[in-house]
Amino acid sequence: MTCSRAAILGKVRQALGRQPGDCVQPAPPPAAIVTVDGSDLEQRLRERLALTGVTLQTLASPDALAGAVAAYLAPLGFTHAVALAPGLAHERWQGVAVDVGGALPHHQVAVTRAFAAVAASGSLVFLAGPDHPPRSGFLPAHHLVVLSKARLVGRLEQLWPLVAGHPGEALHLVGGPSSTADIGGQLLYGAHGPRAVHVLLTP
Amino acid sequence: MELRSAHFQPSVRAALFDPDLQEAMADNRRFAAHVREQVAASGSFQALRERARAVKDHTLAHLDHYLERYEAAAQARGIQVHWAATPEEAQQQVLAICRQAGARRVIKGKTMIGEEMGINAALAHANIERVETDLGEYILQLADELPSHINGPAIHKTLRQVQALFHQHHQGLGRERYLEDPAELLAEARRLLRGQFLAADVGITGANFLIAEDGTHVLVTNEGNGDLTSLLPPVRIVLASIEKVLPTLEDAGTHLQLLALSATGQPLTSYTSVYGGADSDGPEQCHVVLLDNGRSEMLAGAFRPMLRCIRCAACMDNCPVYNWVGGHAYGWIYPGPMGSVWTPNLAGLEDTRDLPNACTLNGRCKEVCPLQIPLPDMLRALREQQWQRQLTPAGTRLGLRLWAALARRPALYHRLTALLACVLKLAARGRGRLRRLPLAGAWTAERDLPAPQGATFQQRWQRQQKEKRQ
Repeated sequence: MTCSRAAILGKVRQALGRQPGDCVQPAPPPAAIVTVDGSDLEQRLRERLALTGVTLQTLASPDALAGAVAAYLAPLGFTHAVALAPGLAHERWQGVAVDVGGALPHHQVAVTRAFAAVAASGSLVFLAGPDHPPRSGFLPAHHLVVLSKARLVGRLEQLWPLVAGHPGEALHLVGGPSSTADIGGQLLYGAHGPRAVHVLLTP
Repeated sequence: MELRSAHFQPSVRAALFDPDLQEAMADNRRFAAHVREQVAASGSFQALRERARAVKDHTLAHLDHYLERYEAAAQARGIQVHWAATPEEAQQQVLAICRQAGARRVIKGKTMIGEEMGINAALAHANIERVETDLGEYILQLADELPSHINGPAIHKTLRQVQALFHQHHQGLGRERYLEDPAELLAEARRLLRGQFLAADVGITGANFLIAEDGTHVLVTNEGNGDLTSLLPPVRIVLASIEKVLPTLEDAGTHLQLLALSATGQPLTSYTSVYGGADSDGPEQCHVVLLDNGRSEMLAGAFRPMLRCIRCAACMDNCPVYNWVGGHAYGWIYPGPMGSVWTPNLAGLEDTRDLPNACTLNGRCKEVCPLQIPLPDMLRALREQQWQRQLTPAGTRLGLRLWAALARRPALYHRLTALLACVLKLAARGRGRLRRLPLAGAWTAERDLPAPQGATFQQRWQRQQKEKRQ
């Protein structure tokens, strides 16, 4: 391994005509941020998510979370508890059976919190950690996402400063349910991960 | 992987008369038109591509620096970085990791570097069971075929063919009827693959970008299979190559938008994930293999811009050759315009002679390329190399010599073309069209050739200028 490392780096330096003492030029400056043209971020996010079948429900307060989850579950007829991200355990969940922790294979529904959302690309942003086990966004068939209105940004470029400095676990940008076009070119949802994603937007 | 580019011409003939392939390629042309509309409507394509190109050129010009930075940052996260000069070395590194982990079952996400290093054959040889989790790759595993496209590996398969494959291979699993509905086929694959995800010892994925600043890697999929493959098994192996490094996550953000837009017309791929080794409920070990395989040599010369490629496949999706002959005809894992540059560079000019010539030089690939790679110029440069090394066929060499001799003598050229225009006009016998023409049999077999009207362009131009002056 060490041998190939030296050989590859040696060939790269030779190709670049490196001389000892060459210094690294500064990188090109970051892209100028094109701000979203004054339009309502919530509306933009809703429209963008709708294109991939993600639904968004605005709640009056975090107290309405339990009721909203119960209402989502009712027509589905699921009897198992939902996997609840530990980071949401402090909210009130009366009337909903929850297993606090990361989703396991038998869980049909997971409830997790999004760190932020990007309106222009319709991306829900998740920062993994002990309070937000990343599996929960990929194993269950239904993913319920709690998102705070204060964490909406217009464009992807505005996300990076928010993410910087957070401990280095996985970062996921999710733009809709799991999808594929590999069977005869038809777009289908629910390939591996969630078949449905529903956002609960809190003030 | 075995190189079959020397069989390009017979493969093309077979492809053009394969009705299933032609049906599938017609679908790809429709999809490409949809993507073009999305790119045109995005409003940010030009600004993004200018910045992406600047960032990538800067990174390539300091590749040694960024590779070392990436390695140090990744190691600080507990990731083991393995350098592989050749595909064989990369295979051995992957097998050694699997052996150390006592692995019997491997699940894999789609990785073109994995195809390049021949990892599937190496795993089979080592008696390690492999299951592909990208649905397109899974279909190909059932069919025992190679990818024909770098994003949609099974785009050459029609729905009818997938129905038949699933029926043939899943029959023993207690299924009672022939499934036709794509949604039912998908549900069956999901159920089968879910079990595989949970039972695997090692997960192998590719990486779209490596981030020098913080040692993370970025992986995009629409299915989410890359994430289940990354998160569930106890050992994670990431197959990457040296040109995938970018300075910062913000830089990757620019490239990610271009990748999604140019590949599928999405603003971002459904799942864009940044992994850094230590995840709360993720694997215990994370390894990254960095493959060179000729890239450090490409960095030196005129082919350096090819290393900007982010594998969006826009060049092939907009290529009039690829879109009719499909990916398998190219005989290696990278098809279309980008493949016709990569393959001769990585595998040599001798057995890839037809690839740089399978191009009309219409320039579409360069126009749509988000990184503005001058693909037609590179294909022309490869043709020149073929000429210099006397690899061009004798008939073509003779034809080119005759043409060059004529083109260098303008007076002779004008006289001869004027004569030819007259002869062809007479041969058309007033119909204005020619049914047959020597040396143009392939053209006239399918359609008539419009006949010249008696004068050459230059003659008509001069006449027009004279009339204007009078």
